Amino acid sequence: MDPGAVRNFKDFLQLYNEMTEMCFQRCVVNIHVRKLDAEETTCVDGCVQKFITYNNKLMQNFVRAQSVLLNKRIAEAEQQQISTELQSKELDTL
Amino acid sequence: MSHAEQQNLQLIQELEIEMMADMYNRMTAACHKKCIAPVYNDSEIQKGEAVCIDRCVAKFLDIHERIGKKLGQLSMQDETLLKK
Repeated sequence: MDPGAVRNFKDFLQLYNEMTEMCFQRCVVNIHVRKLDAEETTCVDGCVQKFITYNNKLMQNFVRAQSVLLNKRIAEAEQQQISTELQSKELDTL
Repeated sequence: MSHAEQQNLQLIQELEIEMMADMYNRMTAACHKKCIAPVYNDSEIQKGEAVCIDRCVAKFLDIHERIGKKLGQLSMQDETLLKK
């Protein structure tokens, strides 16, 4: 098994635990009964579905924002290079 | 079983134990928050608190299992989608 797959599996389990914790905190309001009631089960189902969609959306936005940022940095670096080149040329002519 | 397979199995088992511990820690925090009132006149766990802990653990594990099943279902769906 390659290390990437292990990492993936670990991240998956971590997310699973986080999801349990979060949906428990958000959906379990009363502790007067031992069993999950109908309202709680629907809430948990919705919570899981929403968390997954949220994660997807977040990732899409992150990727988009990240590439914009990267392009900006590249442009800035190019600009910097051009200006330093210009400066060194000016120094040469002096 | 080959050596590599054995190693894989051990790796997965270790991960599962680690995650079980993580889940346990989260449950401890969540049920403490839900069941133990921040009043410390009596250092013993009260009867109501004990009942609450019992139910809290049951519910937490229920939710954990439920989510696990749902995730299993979803990943199966993904796999069949990828195969198409």
